[in-house]
Amino acid sequence: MSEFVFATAEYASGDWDSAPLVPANLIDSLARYTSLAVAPQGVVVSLGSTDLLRFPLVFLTGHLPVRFTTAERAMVRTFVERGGILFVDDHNHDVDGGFHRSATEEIAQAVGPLRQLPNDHSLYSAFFPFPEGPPTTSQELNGWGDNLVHRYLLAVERAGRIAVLYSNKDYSSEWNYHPETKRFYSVDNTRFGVNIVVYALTR
Amino acid sequence: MALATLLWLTVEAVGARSAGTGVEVTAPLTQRALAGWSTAPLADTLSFRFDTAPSRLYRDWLVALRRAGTGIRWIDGGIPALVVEADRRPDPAGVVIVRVSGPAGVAVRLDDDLGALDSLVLGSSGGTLRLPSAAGLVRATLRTPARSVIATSASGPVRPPRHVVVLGAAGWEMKFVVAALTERGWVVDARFGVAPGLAVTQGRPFPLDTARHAAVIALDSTAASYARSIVTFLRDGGGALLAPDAAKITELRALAPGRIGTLVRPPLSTGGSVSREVLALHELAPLLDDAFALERRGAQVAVAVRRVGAGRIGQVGYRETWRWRMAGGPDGIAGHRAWWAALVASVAYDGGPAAVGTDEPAPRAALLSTLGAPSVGAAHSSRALFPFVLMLLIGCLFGEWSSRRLRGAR
Repeated sequence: MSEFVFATAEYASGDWDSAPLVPANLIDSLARYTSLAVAPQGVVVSLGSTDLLRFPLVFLTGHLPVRFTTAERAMVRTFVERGGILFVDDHNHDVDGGFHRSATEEIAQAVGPLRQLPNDHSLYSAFFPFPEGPPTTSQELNGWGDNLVHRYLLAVERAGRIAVLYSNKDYSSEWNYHPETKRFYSVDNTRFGVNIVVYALTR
Repeated sequence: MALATLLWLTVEAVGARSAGTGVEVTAPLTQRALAGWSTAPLADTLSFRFDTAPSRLYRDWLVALRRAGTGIRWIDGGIPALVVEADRRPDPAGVVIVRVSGPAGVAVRLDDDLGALDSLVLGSSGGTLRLPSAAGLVRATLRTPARSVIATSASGPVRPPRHVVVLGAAGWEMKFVVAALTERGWVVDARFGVAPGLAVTQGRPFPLDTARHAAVIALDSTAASYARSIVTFLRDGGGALLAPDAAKITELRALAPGRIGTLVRPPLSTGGSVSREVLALHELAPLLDDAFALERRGAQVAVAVRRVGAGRIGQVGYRETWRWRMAGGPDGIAGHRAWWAALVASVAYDGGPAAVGTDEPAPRAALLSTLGAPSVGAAHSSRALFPFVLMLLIGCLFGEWSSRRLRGAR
């Protein structure tokens, strides 16, 4: 059985490495809750390289405006056509910030326009149940960023499956801590990350 | 010598007359004539010369006449050996493989009930066509200046697609195998193991039943809990495919076509596209005596199949075929999809045999099978020889007479 390798996208513009602890935290959760074979270390993969096709789930985050190069745009398109899933999270928790505007534009150009993902989508029951839709983050509840609780995630779907999942909820901040710290949480807030991975591996 | 030959011909003619009457039928064979000979025998022996193979009805009628006491002899007028086989694969994409065998170098035209399909020139080992569909009988027609031969093969009924079950742990291999088969048109019931005692289920994979399922694909050791069901399903006529880790499950290992050999990982150039040639492969060796290698990579067996009970089991030596789909260049997706579909088709239960039809896949072979080997026409040839032997005899006598008359002149 081949291992699942958590991959973070490195892109030419912006700050792609703004949430360096997210991979380790999600890998810890996958090992903790599932029987999936998971590589203990994540990898960084260039968005414009054919290496992207070795990792069918790729996490992309950042604070700064995103402008894909021609190679990155072409590779994202190929990646999605082949069955890959790109999980993009706005590290700003903004509804109209620079990352949001530029990233959604780039995704629309490369793959197609993002649409609201209904809160009863199978993503929310892929492993842990989230009957209310995407879990809120402390950034939302504390009024940081745009002072909004985002009710929905956005997605581009292809043939009935999510090809690009886009979040304004700032999971990058929410999950960017050492896995050992989980013991201080009454409810593990990375559980939704497990759903994203299990969804990607099963749909 | 000529006198002796003449004597032999005379004895043979007398013998033939005492054995009964013989008639050489030169008129075309018709139902009316056959009916007439059935009620009022024309002769003790009927001789035919066939330039084309008579139909199944006429052949069977001639056999009936023979069994009723009329001798039936036939002379081969040069019927070309033509064989056609139309094999509808259990594949939702509707693949029909047509194999034609016949004299090398001749052109054969293919038709079905809806019209012309294609044509091909036969090689030394015949020819094969892969058609997206065919309706009813597939006819192969071979035309030469002297005659034409038509062989027909039923392409088989189009059956409603059964389901394919895929079992394994959640992972890229399972995800992309399910995706490939779904895109091909199979209805896939799947069980993705995600945690101890917890699985993501798609469709209704259990109970395994040939009434609902055509094949089951076991990708890894998580299928161990269902090994007994898989064995029962196989013996009932279902198909099974085993990936390397699933073939290590005790109950399935006993049925697998081969043993899992060492893992070979060909070097992959950086940035190069992935093909089946560079996938990690467990050689399947040794194979069981009744196993058949479906695919080899170099000298290594990569895919093998064998029969188990009424079903078929296939074994795949490749690991992580999903890499071919994701990083396989422009044809990666289509290649991966077609390859998995072909694997499933090679083992899938297709609903049992088709009803016996009116096809005639090998006319000459059928004629030989029902009427026996053709006669060389000994009686006719000896009769035909008679004037020549007579002339030879007269010539010899004249020579002898001349010799005697001219002896004194010298």
